[in-house]
Amino acid sequence: MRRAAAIAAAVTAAALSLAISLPPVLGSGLPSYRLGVFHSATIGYYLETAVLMNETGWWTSHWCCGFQDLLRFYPPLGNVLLLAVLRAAGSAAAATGLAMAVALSVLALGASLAGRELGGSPLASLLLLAGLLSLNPWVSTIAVYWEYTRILGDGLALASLALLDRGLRGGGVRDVAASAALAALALLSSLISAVWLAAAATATAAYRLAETLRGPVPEAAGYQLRLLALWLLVAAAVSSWWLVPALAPWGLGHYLRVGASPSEKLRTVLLGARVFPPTWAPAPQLTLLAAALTAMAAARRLGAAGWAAAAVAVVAALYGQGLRLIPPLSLLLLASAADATRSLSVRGKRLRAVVLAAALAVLIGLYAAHYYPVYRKLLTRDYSYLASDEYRVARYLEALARAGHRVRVYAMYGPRLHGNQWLNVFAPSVDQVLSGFMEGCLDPRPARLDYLVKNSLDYRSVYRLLLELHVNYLWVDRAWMSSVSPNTVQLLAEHHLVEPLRGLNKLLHYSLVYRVVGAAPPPAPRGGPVFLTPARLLGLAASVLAAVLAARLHRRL
Amino acid sequence: MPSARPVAGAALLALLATAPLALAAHRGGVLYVATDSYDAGFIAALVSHGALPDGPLVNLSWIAGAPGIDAGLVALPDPNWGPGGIPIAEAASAKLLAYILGGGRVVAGLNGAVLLNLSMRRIGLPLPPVQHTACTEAPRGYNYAKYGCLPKPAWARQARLPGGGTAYVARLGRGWLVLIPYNAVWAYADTGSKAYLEAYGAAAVLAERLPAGGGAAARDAAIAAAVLAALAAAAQSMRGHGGEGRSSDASRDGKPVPPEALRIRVRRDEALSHSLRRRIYEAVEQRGALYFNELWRLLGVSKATVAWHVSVLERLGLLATLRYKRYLLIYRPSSSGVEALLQALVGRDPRGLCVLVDYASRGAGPEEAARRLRASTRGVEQLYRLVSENLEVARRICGELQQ
Repeated sequence: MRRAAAIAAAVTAAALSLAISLPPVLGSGLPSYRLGVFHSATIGYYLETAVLMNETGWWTSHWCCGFQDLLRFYPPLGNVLLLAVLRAAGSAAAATGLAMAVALSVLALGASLAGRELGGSPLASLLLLAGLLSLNPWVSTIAVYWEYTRILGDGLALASLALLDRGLRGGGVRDVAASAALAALALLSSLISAVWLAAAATATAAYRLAETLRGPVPEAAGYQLRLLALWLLVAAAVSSWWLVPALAPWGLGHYLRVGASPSEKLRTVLLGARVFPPTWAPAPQLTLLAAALTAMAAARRLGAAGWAAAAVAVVAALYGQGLRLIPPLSLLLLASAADATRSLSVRGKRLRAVVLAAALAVLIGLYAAHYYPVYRKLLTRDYSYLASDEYRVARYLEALARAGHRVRVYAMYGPRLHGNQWLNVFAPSVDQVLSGFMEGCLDPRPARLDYLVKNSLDYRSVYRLLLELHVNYLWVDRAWMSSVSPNTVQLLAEHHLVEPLRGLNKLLHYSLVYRVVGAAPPPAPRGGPVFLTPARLLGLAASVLAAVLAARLHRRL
Repeated sequence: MPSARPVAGAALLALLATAPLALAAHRGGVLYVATDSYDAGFIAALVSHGALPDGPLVNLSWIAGAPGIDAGLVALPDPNWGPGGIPIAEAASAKLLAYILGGGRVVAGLNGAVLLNLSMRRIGLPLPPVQHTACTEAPRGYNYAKYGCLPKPAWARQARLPGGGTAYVARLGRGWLVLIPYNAVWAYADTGSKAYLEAYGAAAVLAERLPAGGGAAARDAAIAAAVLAALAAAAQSMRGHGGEGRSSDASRDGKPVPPEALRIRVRRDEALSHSLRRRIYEAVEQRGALYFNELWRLLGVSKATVAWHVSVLERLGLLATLRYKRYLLIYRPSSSGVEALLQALVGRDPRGLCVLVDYASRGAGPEEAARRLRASTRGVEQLYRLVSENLEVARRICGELQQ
C-alpha cells in the first residue's frame, strides 16, 4: 500500500512537472506578451542577468551607471543556473522554458518530500502536489509571475524542512546536513524562501525538541541541539560567502523596507480573488483552508507541520512582504491537514478520517479542474514580445550602441513599461542607470535619480543629475505620466532639455523615449572590477570558518 | 481431523486487495508475540512499513499466563524458547490453539508453526518435518539450506500471496491458522528486503479476512475439548516446573513491552547498524542494567550523544530507562533486566530501594515514600511502580542486603 502510494506520488510529481512545464519547454519565444503577462514574468530579471553574464563574463558594468560588480545584489543561484541553461540551450528564449521546467521539478520534488515527511504519508505527498495545481497563490506564482527563483527556492526550502524534521526525529546526521545544504541553496535562490524557511525550521525544531524534553530521556535534546548547530554551520558555510557581502553594505533593514501595511494584507487575504493581475489572493481557497483547519481541529493535533504553518503565518503578518509567504503557507496547512487525518486514522477514527480526506480531495479536484486551463493559457511562450515597446526600444538603442554611439538610458519600471527588466535581454550592449531590480548600487546617485524622476517637482535637479551621470536617453511609461501631477513630468515638456524621439515614439504603444540634450556619452569603464571588498573577504572567511566548525562538530556526532 | 475448508482463489485475491491498515479497525486489534529483539525488530519494521498496524507486544509467558486472548489476530513471527522454556512454550502453544479453535486467527512464521506444533501434534494434526531444501515456491533470497522451510501439511490449503510466495491456510475449529512456510524474520534480517514484510502482512490480512464463526462442526468442538485438555496438562506441567509462568531464560522472558515501542519509524536493523547504538545495546544486554554515567564513561562520547541513542533504542523497545531521583538507569526490558536494575540501585542507594519496598508492600502511595526519602514524588514514582510490579524480587534483594 505504502509502496504503491509512494510510486503514485513520484509518478504524480513527474506528471505534474511535465504537465505544467512542457508547454513552456516545447514552445518557442519568450513568456507570452498577451494580456500584459510578459510584464509580470519575473524570470525576465534573471534572464537579463544571465544574458549579460553570458555576454560580458561574470563582471558587468551595465548597471548602476558603470559600477562593476560580480553577481550583484540578488541571490546568485537562479542567475547561475539560468546562465548554465542558457549556454546549454544556446538561446535566451529556450533558457526560460528549460529553467522553469527545472524549477518546477524541484518544487514538485520538494512538495512531495514535505508531504511524505511532514504529512506522514505518500498520500500527503499527492495532496501537496495537487495543491500546486489548485491553490490560487501557486497559480499566480507559477503561471502569472513565472517566479522562477521563488519556485526554485520554495522547492529547495520544502525539501530542506522535510529533511530537517526527519533528521531531528531520527537523529540522522546526513539528513540534517543535507537539509542545511538545501536551506543554503534556497537562500541563494530566493531570500523570501529563506525567510519562511527560517520561521518554519525554528518551529519544527522547537516542536521536536519539546517532544524529546517531554520524553523519558530529556537529555537526548542535547544531541538534537548539536544537530541544529550542525545545521546552522553547514548552512552558513554554503551561503555566507554571498550573504555577508549582500547584507553588509545595506543592512537587513534594506531588505525589509518594502512591504504592504497590515490592512492592505488583510484586504488581500480576505477579498483578493483574482489570478490576474497577479495577486497571492487566497480568498478562493478559503474553503480549502477551512477544511484543512477543520481536519486539525477534529484530530486535535497540531504536529510539526502545524507549528511550522503557524510560525509562517505569524511572520507573514509581521513581515512587510508577508503576502509572498502565502504559497508555502498553503502547502504547510495542507501537510498538517494530512498529518491530522492520518492521526485520526491511526487512532481508529477511520470514518472521520475518510470524510475529511474525501472533502479535501473533492475540493482540490474542483479547484484543480478550474485552474489547470489557467496554467495552459498563461504558462506559454510565443513571439508576441516582438510587438512590445521593450523589444522595439531595446533594439533601437542596441543599434545605436553597435554603431559606436555610447548609450546610457534611464529605463523606467512603471505600471505597464518594465523597461529596466527587459532592456538588457534584448540589448546586452546598452548601459542603463539601474537594473531590473532597481537596487543594490553602492553609488546612491542612480537610485536618487530614479526617485527624482518619479516623484520630484524640481525638474532642474533631475536634469543636472542626468548630465552628471552621463545619461543620454530617458524611457518612460505613458501610464505613469498620466497618473502623476503635470508638475512632476514638467521636465518632459521642456524639449530644449529633453527631446522626444518622435519617429520611434510613433511606433510605441505605452512608452515614450527622449534624448537628453547636452548629455555627454558615458565614459568607458575604468579600472578592474571590485572583488576583494572587506564585506566579501568577511563573507569568505565566515564560510571557511563555518565549514571548519561544521566538520569538527560532525566528527563529534 | 478437522477439515480445511476450501477457499476460492478469487475470493482470496479480492480480500487481499484491501488495505492492510484495515486491520487497525478490528475490534480486538493485532497482538504480537515476540520473544527476542529480532522478533521485536521485525514487528517494528512491519508496523513502520505499514504492512500491519500497531498493537501490543507480548511474550510467551504472557500468552501462557493470560486468562484469555482478546485480539482479532495473533501474529507469531518467530517465537523462540530455550531448553528451560519448554513448559512455557507448551502452555502458550495450547493457549494459542484453543484461541484458534474458539474463533481466533493466528498468522505464524516457521518458528510459530513449530510452536503450535507442540500442541497440534497432541490432537493428531502434526506438522510435516522442516526441510532444508526448497519445498514451495521460493521467495527470492531466502536461504533454505540455512533456515529450512515447511512442506504443506495435509490438512492445510495452499494460497498464493500477492507479491509472490505462498501461505498455508487451515480452518481449525471456528478459527483460522495461516502459516508462512519459511522464516520471514531471518530472511528479512539477512536481506533487508521489504518483500518479507509485505508477505507477512499479506498473510495477516488473509487471516483477518477469512470468514469467521458459523461453520464449526461438532467434530471441531470435540477437537477443542481435546486441546483444552492438553492445555490443562501443559498448565499442570508448568506449575510443576515451579515458575508461575516465568522461566530462567531472562532474555526471552520479560514483561510485555509496551505498545509504544512499536510506534517509531526507526527500524531495528537501522537502529543497530549504528555502531554506537550497537555498543549501547550490547553493554545493556551484557550487564542487564547500568547507570547512565557508567554507560557514558564506557563509550567515551558526549552525554548528549549517548542520551540520544539510548532514547532511540528505548523507543524501539530494545532497552528501557528508569529515572530515580537524579539518576537515569538503563536496563534490559525483561525480568532479569529488572533484577539487574534493582541490584544496581541497591549498590548505590540501598536505603532508598528498601524504603520503597516497604511502602509498596504496605500499599502506601509514592507520595509518602517520597516524603520519607526527602525526594520529589516525580523522582521516585517510576521506581515505586517498578518495585510494586516486581515486589517479590525487590523484597528478596532487600532481604539479601539485610542479611
